[in-house]
Amino acid sequence: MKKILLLIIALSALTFAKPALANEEFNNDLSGRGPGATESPRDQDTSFCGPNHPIHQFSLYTRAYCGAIATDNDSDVFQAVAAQFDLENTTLIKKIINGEPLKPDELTNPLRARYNLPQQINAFSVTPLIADVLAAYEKEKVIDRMKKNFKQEFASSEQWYNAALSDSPMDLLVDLNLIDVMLFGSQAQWNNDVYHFPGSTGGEAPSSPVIPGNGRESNPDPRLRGDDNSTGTTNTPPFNHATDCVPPDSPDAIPPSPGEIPRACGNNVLDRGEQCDDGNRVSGDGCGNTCRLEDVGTILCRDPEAITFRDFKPAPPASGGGTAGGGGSTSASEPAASDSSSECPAGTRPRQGLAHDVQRQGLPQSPHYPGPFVGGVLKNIALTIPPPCPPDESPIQIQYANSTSSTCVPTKWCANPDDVKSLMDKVRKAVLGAAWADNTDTKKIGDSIEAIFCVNVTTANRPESPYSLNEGCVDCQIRSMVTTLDKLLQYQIAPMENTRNAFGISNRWGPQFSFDLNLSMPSNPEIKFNEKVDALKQADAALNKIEQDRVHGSDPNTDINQPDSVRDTSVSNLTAEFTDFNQKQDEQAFTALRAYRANTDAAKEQDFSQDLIGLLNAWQQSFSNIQNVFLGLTDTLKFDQLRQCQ
Amino acid sequence: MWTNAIKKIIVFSLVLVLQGSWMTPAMAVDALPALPAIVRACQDTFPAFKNAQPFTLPAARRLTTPAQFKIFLEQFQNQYHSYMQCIFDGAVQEILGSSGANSSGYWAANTPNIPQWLVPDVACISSQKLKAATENTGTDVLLPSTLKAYYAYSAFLAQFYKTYQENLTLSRAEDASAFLQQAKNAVVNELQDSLSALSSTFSQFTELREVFVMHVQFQCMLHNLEEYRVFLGKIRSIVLLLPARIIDASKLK
Repeated sequence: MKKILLLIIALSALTFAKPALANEEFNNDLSGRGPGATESPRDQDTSFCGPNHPIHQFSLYTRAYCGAIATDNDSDVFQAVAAQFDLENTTLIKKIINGEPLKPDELTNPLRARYNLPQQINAFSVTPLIADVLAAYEKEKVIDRMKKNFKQEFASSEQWYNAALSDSPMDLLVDLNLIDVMLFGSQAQWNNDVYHFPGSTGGEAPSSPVIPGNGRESNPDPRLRGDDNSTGTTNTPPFNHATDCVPPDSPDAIPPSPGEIPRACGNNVLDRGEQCDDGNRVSGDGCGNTCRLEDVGTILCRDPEAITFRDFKPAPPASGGGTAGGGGSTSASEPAASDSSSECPAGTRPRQGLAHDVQRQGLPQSPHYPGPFVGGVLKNIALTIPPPCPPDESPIQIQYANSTSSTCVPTKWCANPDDVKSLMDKVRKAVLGAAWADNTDTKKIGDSIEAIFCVNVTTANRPESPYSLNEGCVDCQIRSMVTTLDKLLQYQIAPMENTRNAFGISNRWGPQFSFDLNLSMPSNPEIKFNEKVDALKQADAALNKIEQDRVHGSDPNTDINQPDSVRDTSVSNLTAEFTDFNQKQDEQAFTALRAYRANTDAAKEQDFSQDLIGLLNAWQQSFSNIQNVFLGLTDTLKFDQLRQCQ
Repeated sequence: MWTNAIKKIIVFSLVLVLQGSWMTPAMAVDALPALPAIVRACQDTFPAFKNAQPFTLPAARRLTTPAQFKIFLEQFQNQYHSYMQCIFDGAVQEILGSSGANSSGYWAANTPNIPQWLVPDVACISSQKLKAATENTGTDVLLPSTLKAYYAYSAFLAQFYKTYQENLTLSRAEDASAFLQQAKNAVVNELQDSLSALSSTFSQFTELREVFVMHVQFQCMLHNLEEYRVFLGKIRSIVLLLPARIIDASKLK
């Protein structure tokens, strides 16, 4: 038995001491590596954050861990600790942190004096120094880690909110920019998180936005000029009068647009065939000498009638007094050849099917018009190369519907907040009317618009922490946008008001035209209200008089001064009467409109109605879709949190 | 003959005893009754970590050198962080995939092209679907599993260091002290970094979820606004036929 026990002990000892089970077996069993792997374990860096482990763009965890990892990147921490001990290098600090023994000559004199160290040090004498270094190291490590985390989170914030094109497929600022453009026209531009207003209220001509690919810029790079199809830009062939212009009665000719032939151009009345009539026959003010809308660039579009729904197109180089290169404004004295027919000699029309027809099918509007983006195409330029911008402008990118565009916007407008404020007043008046502040609803909208526009968040102003200014501002931008959308949709005023402005600002529509269908909004309700108030006051006075007469024994029926209509009515009847009056007036107006239209040769009534009403229904449906999306916005989980921010 | 058999039995018994003493149940991430789908999908990526039980092997006792320590630590790091990466990548994919667009190629490393996973046409997904995607990947859903894994990892590394401390055999005592200190630093740093990474990832992920929801809705809104604008343009092109002077229907008295 003793022998057996001795054998067991001996075997156990052998098992523990057996050197044959060395590293090779150890690693074969555990790491799955083949034999010999441990002979050169570091010949290939297989660590999680090593070069053989790529960090994916959206792999948040990998990025966070490898960004925060301190094992190999503690040099900043060592430096910070060394500075606290007046050391020029980090050797001593590293040795202390790694638990290595210190040598007397490694200690500097200031350090010796500070810790009162003897010439011959021992473990006991350097204990306070080691404790201080370790404490400082721990503190600096925590700070370093927090800093790295903040940087990570801020980078993440930037990635989602203000991404470079290669960073992320989503960029909320671009989304907001596009929504702004949709709602407020091309006035709204973001650049590096700064809201910009192209155009000027002053006399100077700012550099107009350069839209790459439309030919305005003078960059020699064909890709940036839009000559290269690979950039996705439109490549318009040169216009050839000999082949592209045909007689107007030719079946190949572009059909005449409504109101093309001006009859009484310059009489300040928009006659049939006129696109505009500003009372003169002078070009360059937005309404050309033939009463055609003209593209006069960006700065001269102040005349309301000059609102052009056409896209920017390159001004002819030899168009006269202005310059048109390098992103500058177009000629001020000569009409830009924005009209298709003007490119053909008199008596001829452009032939159908030309490339530039396609280009002009859209109805973009002036970039200075603060209304909804009514027609045309967004800057649909698939350009990955930022445009070369003038010194005072910066490039922005717009990604939308599978395409990316770039453009330059002036950067100087946010330098002076007063400029923004002044411009904002104009925008509000244009959008909401001069008396916007007097009406509760419009005032709310106006204030909301201001909340959106009065932003000045530059990247430089941002702190590194995503939890302070950056997040607050960007989130509040979104919140303001949502709030405004809420108001727009809640009151349904702004879309109609904007629409009305967009359409009605020209005298071709009249300032207060409405469709008078289901979509129409009550126009100027305060006026009707005043009328009602006056009427009610009269009724009250009459009733009081009747009552007084009754009390004093007078017979109201014998009062010859009392109007019959008032004598027999009551307040409620009167209110109903006025309501009925309004409805009747509306019906009367509609009837008059129908009658007028039926007597015109504009189109057959039936076709017209079908076309228009069908479109209006579709339009209304699209508006309902917007409302539904907005409801979805408020319904989502995270917007509950957003509301808490308000 | 029988002595050999006895010897084998004794060795086997010792191995079993040692296995029992070295077992680290905390290391194994046992399946919760109802693991979130995202976490469940990552269990396959974790077998090495779950079943490694490195010290059940006789070779475990040979954890005697700093080089071995480093190799082991690196291996455990790879296992643990790959598991975490799997969970969070799965969560991101769950979020982004809720748009219905094909996200294949999305994970290709260093892809030069932006994946078109969110064109407006497919961006208008229901708020319920969005909500489900965000709720399935909420912090409350992922935190228990990830924290549990972290604590398992933490306990395992502590045990790992303890083994190293006991087995380290060096000729000079001061060298042993330094190596142990470095190993301790490495473990402490690793645990701090892991926790920090977890916290940071949750912050970033929360932001991603929020931005994604807004982006989808904004894209959808843009889509509808575009529609609105197109109809407006068409209406305008028809209304241009109207004469210049139109009686304003709403202002007639």
